[in-house]
Amino acid sequence: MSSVTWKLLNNPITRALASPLSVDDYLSQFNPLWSVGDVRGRIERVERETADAVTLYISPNSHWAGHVAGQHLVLGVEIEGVRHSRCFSISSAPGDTGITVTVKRNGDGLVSNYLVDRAQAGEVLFLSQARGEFLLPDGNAPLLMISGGSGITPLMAMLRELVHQGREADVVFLHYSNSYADTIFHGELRALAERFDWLNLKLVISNGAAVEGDHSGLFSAGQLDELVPDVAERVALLCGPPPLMDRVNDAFLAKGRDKPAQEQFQVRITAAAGEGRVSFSRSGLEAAGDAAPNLLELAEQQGLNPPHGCRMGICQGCKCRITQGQVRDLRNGEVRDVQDEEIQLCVHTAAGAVSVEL
Amino acid sequence: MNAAVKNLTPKTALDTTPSRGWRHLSAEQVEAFGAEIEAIREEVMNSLGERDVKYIRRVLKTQRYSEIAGRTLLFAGFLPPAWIAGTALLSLSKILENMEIGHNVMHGQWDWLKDPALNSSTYDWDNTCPAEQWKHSHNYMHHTFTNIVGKDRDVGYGIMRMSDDQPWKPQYLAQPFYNWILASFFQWGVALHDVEFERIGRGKSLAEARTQLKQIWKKARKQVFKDYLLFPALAGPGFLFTLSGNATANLTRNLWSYMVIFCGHFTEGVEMFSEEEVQDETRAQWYLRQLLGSSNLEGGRAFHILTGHLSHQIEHHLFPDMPAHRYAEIGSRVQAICERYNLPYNTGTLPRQFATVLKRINRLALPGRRRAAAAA
Repeated sequence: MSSVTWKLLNNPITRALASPLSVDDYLSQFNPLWSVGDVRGRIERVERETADAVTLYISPNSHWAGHVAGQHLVLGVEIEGVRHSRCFSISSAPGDTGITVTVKRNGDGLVSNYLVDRAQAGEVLFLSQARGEFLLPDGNAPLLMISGGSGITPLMAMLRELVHQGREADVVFLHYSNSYADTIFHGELRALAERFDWLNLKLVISNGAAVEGDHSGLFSAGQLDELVPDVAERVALLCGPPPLMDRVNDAFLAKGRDKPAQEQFQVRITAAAGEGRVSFSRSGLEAAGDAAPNLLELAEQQGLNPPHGCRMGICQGCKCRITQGQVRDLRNGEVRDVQDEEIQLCVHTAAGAVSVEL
Repeated sequence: MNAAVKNLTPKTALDTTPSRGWRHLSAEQVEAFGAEIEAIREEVMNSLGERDVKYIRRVLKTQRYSEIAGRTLLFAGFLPPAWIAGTALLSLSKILENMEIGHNVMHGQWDWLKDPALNSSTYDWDNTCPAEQWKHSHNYMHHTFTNIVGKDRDVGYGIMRMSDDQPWKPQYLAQPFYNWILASFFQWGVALHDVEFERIGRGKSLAEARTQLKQIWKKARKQVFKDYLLFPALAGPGFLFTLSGNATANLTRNLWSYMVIFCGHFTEGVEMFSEEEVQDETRAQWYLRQLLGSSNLEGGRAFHILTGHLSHQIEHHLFPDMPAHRYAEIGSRVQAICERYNLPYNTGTLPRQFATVLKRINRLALPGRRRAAAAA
């Protein structure tokens, strides 16, 4: 059904008829994809990329507003009936039919392991709209895309978008991978590099030997200069595991350049013990600020169940109003006073007395 | 020694009151009893999984489909069979929604699913009582201060004398009569519950009460509009058939929920407590009070579901945030523990239990204390 149909179904009368439940509470009983406003999608097929990575081909319902290459979404999946949400980059280009998300096993991560091993065609996913500021730059400046491991996904979307647009953008695509077997999109990368002169693929294998034409080792400033002599003239884009991102950022800073535009999915958080008392104004509960690593876990410890998503400061799912108080942002350690402001509970801790509207 | 422990000292030869059935336990035994109850909780909460999800999804489906079918049939309400079937299905749906879904979701029993549609902080039920006030008066006041006269406002809802610890007033003479008005309009009693009219000017400001009343009006207005104006209007010439069907469904739900809830705490043998008795209560003592202050109803699986598993009021009061359909599975274990500690486990059929509730209402309409009267 088109989104116009849904708009018609979501009017003051239908809402009054469904009240106090929502129109969706009824619609979803008939088809889990039906909603008057929420984005949901069905997995059409699952394709294996490597032993530890799969690509999910998802057809979203008509509420999906599209994306720009490089953006991510919050993906909710029911595992044994319990909904779990995580952020994933969209690996398809905006012009493709449907969207794809490429997932690599993340250690013992429940969601990534489920998606890699058990996700099946037909499953319904709960999606957010696309979000994120890590985008393919406009214009004709030469680009340097640096990625590591599964960090390739947003850059792959950009590469595919360049192909769609027929934009001969002069791209150096520098990708770090543990081994050939672990290289996501290996075949497609080779084929694109073969086909397009404007794409210069530099594949670096960090564990083991590289074949002729590829490279081996870990990222270093020296290697960057060697592989990309004109690095100074290129607009750089970066996505990968934190150690790689640290090294790349340091190398750029050492050259007196800004850090590359980047997307980081593993947010590094400074562990800082909470201070003061936290009061939850709606439930009347109180707790010591240092009883949990962040305000979200503190609330959960008190038996509260605030809505949340990624639990790592990305998806904004746990945003909650602070009536008043002093909080520490765990991403940069900064302490600030807030009043009637919504903050992400999962990346903040109390830095004094805090009153949370929960 | 604090007041609570004092009450748990070993019984004396004189104290044989059967309803004060815990005094034979030492403080250590009470703690051991509490640990056994806690162990059941741990075990069940750790075993929650797909089976529970399937159960609640099935209940949701049944409720939504019966509501849609019921309301649709009422559009043909000029045909008596359609009116009867429609009203029955709508009653069923309202009972399921209030008892097995709404009440239990708002207790946080399904928060672990992380489904925004079943989250205790956002769910609102098909009832004139606003969810937020319910969570205060019920989840907090009633479940924490269960059967403490003067604190738990479920003891008589501020208008009835349900314990002989409540001082008698002449108005109670009429309670055998207005009890039935409360039963018929139970959702309104529940809605006005948290306003605590009798406390206004005494510890509660008029402004606070007015804010609550505004909130109730905002919710109730939508409920009334939906059931008594919008759906009847959509039926066009069948306006009155839909209106009467909806009113009957609300009445059925009111009477049913009233009966189930009154059987939970006001049957024969259920204990009432004073504020002094429960000072500095331990977790185990709290468990004990929940057990002594609650009573169960016996019946089949469908009956339990229709009561929202409040037929397992004892288990519900021990574990208010455990998915309710598990109560039936652990009931026999709780009962076995009670037997070993020689504690009462108050259970009976609905007619038997409800008869004792009516007896209490009628007896306490008159001045004096039940026990004194019984001894005399």
